[in-house]
Amino acid sequence: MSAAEPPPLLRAEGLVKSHRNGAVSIPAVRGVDLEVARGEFTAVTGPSGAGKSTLLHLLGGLQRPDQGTLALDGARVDGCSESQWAVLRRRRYGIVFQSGNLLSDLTVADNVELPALLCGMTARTARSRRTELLEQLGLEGTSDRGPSELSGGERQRVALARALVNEPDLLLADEPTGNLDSRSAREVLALLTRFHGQGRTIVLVTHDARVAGSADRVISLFDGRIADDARLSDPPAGPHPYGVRPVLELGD
Amino acid sequence: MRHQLLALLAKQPAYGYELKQALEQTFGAAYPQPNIGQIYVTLGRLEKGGQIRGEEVSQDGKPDKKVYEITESGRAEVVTWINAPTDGPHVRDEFFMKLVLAPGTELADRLTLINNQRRHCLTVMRGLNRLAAQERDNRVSQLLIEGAVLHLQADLDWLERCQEELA
Amino acid sequence: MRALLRWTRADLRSHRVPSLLVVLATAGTVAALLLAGTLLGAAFDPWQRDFAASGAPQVRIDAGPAAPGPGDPAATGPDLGSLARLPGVTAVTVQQRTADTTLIGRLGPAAGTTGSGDRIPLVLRADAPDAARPRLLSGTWLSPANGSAPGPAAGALPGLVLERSAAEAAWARPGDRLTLQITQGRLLDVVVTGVADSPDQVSYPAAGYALGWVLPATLDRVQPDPVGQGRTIGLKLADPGNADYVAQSAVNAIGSDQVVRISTWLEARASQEQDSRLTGLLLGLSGLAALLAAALAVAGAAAGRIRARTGDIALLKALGFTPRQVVRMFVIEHLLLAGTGTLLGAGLAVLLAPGIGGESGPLPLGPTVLGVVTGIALGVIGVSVALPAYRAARVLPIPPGDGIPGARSPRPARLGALRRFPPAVVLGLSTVLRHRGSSSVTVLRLAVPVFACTLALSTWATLDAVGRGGQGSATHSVLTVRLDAGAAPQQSAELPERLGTVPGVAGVYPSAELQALAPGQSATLTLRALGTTAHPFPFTIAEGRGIEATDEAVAGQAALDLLNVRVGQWVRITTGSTPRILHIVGRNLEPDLDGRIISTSWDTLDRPDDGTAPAFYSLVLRPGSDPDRIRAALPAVTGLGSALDVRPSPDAAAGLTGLRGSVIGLVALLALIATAELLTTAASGIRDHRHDLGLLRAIGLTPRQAGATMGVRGAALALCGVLLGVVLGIPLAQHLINLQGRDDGIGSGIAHAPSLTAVLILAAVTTLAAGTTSAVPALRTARTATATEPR
Repeated sequence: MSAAEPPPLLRAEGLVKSHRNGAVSIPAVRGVDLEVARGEFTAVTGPSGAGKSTLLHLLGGLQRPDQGTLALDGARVDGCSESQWAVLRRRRYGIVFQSGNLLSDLTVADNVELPALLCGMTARTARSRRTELLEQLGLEGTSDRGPSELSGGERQRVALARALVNEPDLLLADEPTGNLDSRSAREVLALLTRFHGQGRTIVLVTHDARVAGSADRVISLFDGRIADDARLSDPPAGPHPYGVRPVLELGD
Repeated sequence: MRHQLLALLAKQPAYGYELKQALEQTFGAAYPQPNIGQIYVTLGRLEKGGQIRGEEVSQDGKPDKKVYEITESGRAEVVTWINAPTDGPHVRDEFFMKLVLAPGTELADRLTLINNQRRHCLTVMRGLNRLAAQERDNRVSQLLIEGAVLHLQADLDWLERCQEELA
Repeated sequence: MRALLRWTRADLRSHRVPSLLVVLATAGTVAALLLAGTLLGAAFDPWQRDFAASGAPQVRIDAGPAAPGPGDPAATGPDLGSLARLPGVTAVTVQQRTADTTLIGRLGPAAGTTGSGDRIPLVLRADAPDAARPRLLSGTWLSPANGSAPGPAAGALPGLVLERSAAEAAWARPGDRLTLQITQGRLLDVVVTGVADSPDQVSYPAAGYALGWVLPATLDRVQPDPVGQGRTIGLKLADPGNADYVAQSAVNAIGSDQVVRISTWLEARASQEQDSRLTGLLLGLSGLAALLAAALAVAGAAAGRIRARTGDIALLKALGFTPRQVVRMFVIEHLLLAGTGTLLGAGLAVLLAPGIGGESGPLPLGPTVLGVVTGIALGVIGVSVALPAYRAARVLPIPPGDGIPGARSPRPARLGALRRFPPAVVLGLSTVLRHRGSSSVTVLRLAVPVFACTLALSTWATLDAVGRGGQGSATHSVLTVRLDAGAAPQQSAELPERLGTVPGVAGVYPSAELQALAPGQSATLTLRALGTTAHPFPFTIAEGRGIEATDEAVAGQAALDLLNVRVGQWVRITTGSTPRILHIVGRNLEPDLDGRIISTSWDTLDRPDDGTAPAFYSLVLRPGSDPDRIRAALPAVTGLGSALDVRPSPDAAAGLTGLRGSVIGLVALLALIATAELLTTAASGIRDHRHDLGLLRAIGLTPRQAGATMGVRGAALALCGVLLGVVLGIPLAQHLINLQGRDDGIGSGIAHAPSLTAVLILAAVTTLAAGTTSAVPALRTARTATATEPR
């Protein structure tokens, strides 16, 4: 990489993280090097226990690595204090978890506006951003409802709206479709694809091949290490342009 | 293809071309486009076997068309087909052979094999995703894609198992 | 900030009941503390109120006689009025003339003087037209018309109003005639017209002199020579805390040779406020324990809220809340609640204070007390919330169930007992045992209000024992009886026998009290003869043994301290001019005179050369008898009528009724706090075991059984808490009460543990309440909970 080239949005080197459980130390991530370029849609897959979620948490500063460095736009952030990380998260990250994404006591509107207000947006701007996002996500009319009054898919979409309200540099999602039925999962996936199309950088952890298939790049994590880092090219065109014929052919 | 055609004819008599259109409409782009020639060949076989009856219909200024109609024996075959249990999908037996035998050849290692296969699956998945987006309004097509997606998911999960056990 | 407020508002709105509980607990605690503080400060320190009410000066200066002058005596000598210009002095009282004299006893129409035989130095103050008058306790104020006692024999005697402690020392009541030794050994008979309370006066014998008021004309009869007269003036200060400094500058201003006596309100208070310190301190201690309990309850509730919201907090942090913001959010939220509670509590206290003032008028609720208590309450609650809030700030910013492996590995449960015991019991107990950490915390938290309750109950039991009298009590119920000076000798001789026949009287003991001096000690103590060696008085002996022989004595703690001796040593004291050597064989619990009493048997005192008759008789009453009834009945039953002078012994349990009310209030408050704790326990139990409840149901327990499991858990935790609180509380309470008893001079050994019944009731009520508060919501949850519900 030449000096003139801008640094990647996110660069992690030699990340190591173990979970302590009493005296036992369980390694979750054991040496991960990763670069995420701006505008990339990266999926992290792997069997359960491979360290996918931990890796994501490390990238978002939700957990601290035992070893390794992390740089955001070329600036080291692994030494940041908890408060600095909090500020980073509110300004530059959007985070969506698998479940329990919404503050149960707040209405949909408040949930979405909260990070905006936290960032110092005025109430009026926050409200207009929220209205706009909810509309984009097909959630008009849910503003005054509580999270418990929403379906799982709606909740995830609200979470997505909240993650996007500050127009983050990086969207981190941990199994965003994990608890959803396939129709809701497809909706959420479509939204992610759409946001990617608008130029957003997305890193998501998933075990869902369909979600992984939407990404430009699929990182297979195995036992805390990267086993494969595949950039998916578009399938070759043809009469059945997407190379799906063999899987769709109905055998007699 | 005989069962599909018989099933369509069980609903109402039709010409060969009508059958092709019906197939395309029902299954959408998700289904490999039927070849008209193949349809005529199959219809011919069915007529010979007595499952359908053909009747020439004359047209103004055009060659005669043949309208096909299902027979009792054809109906019986449709019933048998529908009621017979359907075999499950096959394991990717060819890939499995490669996976088992490749290390012995010292020409490839398993991890590369698995990774390549995964990339292939993911690429196919990507294609299915596009197709699904394109065929949003066709429910039959969506179901077919969904089935393929689930199979692919199973393949990918199985790859993970292979990786855990063998790599 | 806006984000913080929005979250806080939503949080409060969706958790109304817990929020209300926090408000109520704070309100109750603040109200109780305010009332306790006021009670301590005013009701049990009557001096404070009297002092404030009387507008008495904070510094009292007795100056020497005005310099002898031929003309107007008041015009010469240093001008005391100039003291008004001293910095810090806001006003001076009217100057009054004084004269020193000696009270030598009560005057009998037939014989000479009676009484203890003591000579009491008496300072007389001349009434002045504009001078503030002391508050009369009985009788009437001086006037030229009432200067004579009723009755033909009295003649026109000058009137005298005695200060309370002086009247007590002289056994004087309005209407009594007293003899004063005035200048040049002459005697002057006066009649007591009233007894008054002067809160700025250091009481006798601490002051070294007794105080009385007379008309100016009487003063001139007592001390005709103006040179022999003194003057007194009081200074009112802007800042009472400055009294010592002002006193000093006053002395400098008028010259130290001119000052005869100077006293400040601090000394006056010290001499007058002894009586209720024990009870006050214990109440205060229990009140503080209640504050601690309340703080713990609020902290527990806050911790519970925070634990229940771990997911939300994690999410807030993932969204970008800094740890500091999380802490601030919770502290502000709870301070808001506590502030509301404090306001409510203060309002409640202001409303209630006038109602519990009792006979001496409403209690003033000073702004200082109000400010200090509310400040402390808010501070304590702020701090106690800050701790769990700090923990909340350290929550990992990852919602639970999102990737972090469980931090705790569960302990195996011994479920074998299921075959013999109901499943609810086994599962409930195993829940307690499996989560040992959180169980111990809950037990500790519950133990605190129980502990405070034990303190309160111990106070109650001690007061009860002191007040009830009888076997095993700290002191006995005693009536002091003597015959009027005018009684016939035969009546005197028959008195002990007649008293012995009165129902309710357990024993009659001849008594006398003498002022005694220890060698080298400026302070005096009282030597009391009580009972005989053959028929000893049933002293409550805390240490050593009772009197068994002549020259043996028992002493109160304060007397031992004063003489610097221990039980078993010999002491030499002087009464009048008679030196006496006594063997201190024991320490008794001595509520009289702050314990500065040595008690010996009558025969020790009654030496051949001392030939005095008993000054009075002490009647020990049977346990449970009503001293007031017997007192009222005595004159009639003995047939001695008005010749009999009956007094209750100084009541160590004075003001108990008010105290009981406070103890009950305190226990009620503690019950409220404990309820809050129990609700927190129940809520946290259900939160932690919601999943389990669903599982239990899936396994095949009925909702009732599943609910009972939680009930058993709550009850077991509460029982442990009660046990811990009682086991720690009773010894500590006893220790503290004894310490205070020792400090007060009564002596240690006064403490009583609450009765077994009281403890059992406490345990039963708490356990039952815990079981119910846990089981009822658990039952409701168990009806609906499913194991698959997200936690």
